[in-house]
Amino acid sequence: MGIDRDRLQASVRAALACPDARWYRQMLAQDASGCPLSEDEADGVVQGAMAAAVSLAEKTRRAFPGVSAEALAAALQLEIVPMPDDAGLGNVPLIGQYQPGARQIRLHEQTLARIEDFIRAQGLEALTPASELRPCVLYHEIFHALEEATPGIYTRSAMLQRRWFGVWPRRRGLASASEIGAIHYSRIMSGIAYSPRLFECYLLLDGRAAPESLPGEFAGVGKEQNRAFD
Amino acid sequence: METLVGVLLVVTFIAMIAYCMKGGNLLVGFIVTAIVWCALGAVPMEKVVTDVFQTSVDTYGKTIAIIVFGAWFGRVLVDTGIAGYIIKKTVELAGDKPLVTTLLLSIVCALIFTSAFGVGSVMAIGMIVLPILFSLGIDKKTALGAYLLAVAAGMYLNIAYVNQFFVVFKSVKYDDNYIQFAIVATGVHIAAMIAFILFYYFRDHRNGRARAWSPASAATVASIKPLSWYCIVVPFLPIAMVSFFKWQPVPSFLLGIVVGLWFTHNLSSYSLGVEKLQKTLYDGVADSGLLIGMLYSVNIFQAAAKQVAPYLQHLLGGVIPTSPTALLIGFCVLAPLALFRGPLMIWGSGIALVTILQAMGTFDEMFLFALFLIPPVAMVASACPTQSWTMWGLSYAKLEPKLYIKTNLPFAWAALAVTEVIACVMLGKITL
Repeated sequence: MGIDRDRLQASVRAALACPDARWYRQMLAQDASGCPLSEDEADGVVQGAMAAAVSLAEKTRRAFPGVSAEALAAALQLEIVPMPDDAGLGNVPLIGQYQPGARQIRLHEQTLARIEDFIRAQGLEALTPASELRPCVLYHEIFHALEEATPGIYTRSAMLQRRWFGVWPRRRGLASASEIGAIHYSRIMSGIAYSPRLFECYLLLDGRAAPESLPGEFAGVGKEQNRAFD
Repeated sequence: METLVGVLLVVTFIAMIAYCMKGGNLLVGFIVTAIVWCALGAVPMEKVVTDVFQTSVDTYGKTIAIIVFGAWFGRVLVDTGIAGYIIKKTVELAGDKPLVTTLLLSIVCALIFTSAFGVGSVMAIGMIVLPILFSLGIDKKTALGAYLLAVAAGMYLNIAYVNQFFVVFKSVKYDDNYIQFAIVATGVHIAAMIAFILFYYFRDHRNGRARAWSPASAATVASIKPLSWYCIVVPFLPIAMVSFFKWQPVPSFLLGIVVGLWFTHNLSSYSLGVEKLQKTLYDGVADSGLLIGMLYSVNIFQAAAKQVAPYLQHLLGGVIPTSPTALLIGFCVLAPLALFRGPLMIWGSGIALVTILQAMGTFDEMFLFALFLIPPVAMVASACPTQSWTMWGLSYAKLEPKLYIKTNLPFAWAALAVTEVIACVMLGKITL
């Protein structure tokens, strides 16, 4: 089943207007290692992670004004290397990865090429230029490197109060808070007008043809998306 | 003449080993070798068509029933969301700490697989567990290695799995003596699994946690539906009924199936209940179909081997050690020969070795059972790419088989050596 380009473009336009917080709430809901959150907790985590990203972005701009993503990585002594083709799990590929031990940013070139090809093939260049993908991924991974060097940063903190077996108090963090921070930081630093999570949606859409296998998150963001694949 | 036939039998046996180790279809391999052995041994046609190909599989009904019901129960655990719910709750409990989560998840998986059975269950649960571990920055070789060690750890207590052995070792029972051993063996295997996780975690993750950007890696987790807390008892119902209430396996599984469907509100209407029962049974049978075929062919091969046993005994009688201790040491030292369905793997070319050892009449059946029970679990399910669900796991994680073997083998080998000794002492009643 092919993709109806007109409908897809309409869905992407709808998704472009979607507020960041809505994208991030979906990330919390899909956190593999997460836990149920109250509305207040979810709002708090999203706001906290976004604030941490804004703060790091401001510091970065002050320390390294006007530098490109590649130059910033070099200034931070981060090596940019290609990732093996077989990275990823099942049919879900990786886009990028930060390896703290080696201080490496690993880019999955095949995946990046897939997303770029999808953008061009579906006529989405005017809405989400393919040239904006690579810097965005680099900034995403740079955020993780900066997180590592920022003790006490919100995105790595144990921000939630929980109880062991409902009795003993304990605190825990959320892996998705770190990812929200990275997504938001990459959006600010690369100066794009849409959520970088759209690139994830392109990747998922590129790998799936049947309407029933569409990712719920994208269908939820661009309400017309489901119909784009009729 | 006897020597010549014996040599030809050994040559075909070696050919079968090579075929198995190259990944050939076991069902075809066993049946073809059975025919060749019957021909070489000049077994009368009437015996071939009656004893070798009919009676051998006739007597296998009880085991097949247990395997089918076990796989059906496994499907109920997966399809009703009970397995996913338990995993999700474990992750919630463990928090976002990768090491704690990996350890807890692996132990919980080991416990689930003391009852869940079938390649479908391993795949379905793996598709929940592996993305979780991966999202926590655990590298693929550690995540997959730990998961497969966890699956293997549950096997010693798994009624459906252990029953397969009763085809070859007719007098062995899943009784209190066996359960005592199985609990110890499960403990040893879990200890090896924990050592595996700790070793690779502290070796590969000491410089911090890798962060990966991956689209919607948690799609399967997000779809896990909330259930009532008491659903967590369901996986352990069959084994509890067999162990504490001395029920037979089939009614124990049936009880688990019905309670599983009931607790997850799948019996809220007659039509829903029937639909779920049929679907899970269908999927369970599909999950176990190829295994059943392979086990039928093992039976046929074993029956053929019995017919030609005098030739093999004539040739190999003086070569194979007659001391149980020597055989035990041999198994521990040569354990990797179980890999790729080699001669120490009973569900592979090892079935011929079992048959020869049984035909020698030197060894007690419980000793041979103890000896051959361990390699399929500790070695093959833990470190061999020829295990059906391991093939899936390697493909899913896109991991090189060589890397998987290299990563898991030392821990699998250690677990095998310790468990073999315990098995031979507790089950085989040998004194060291």
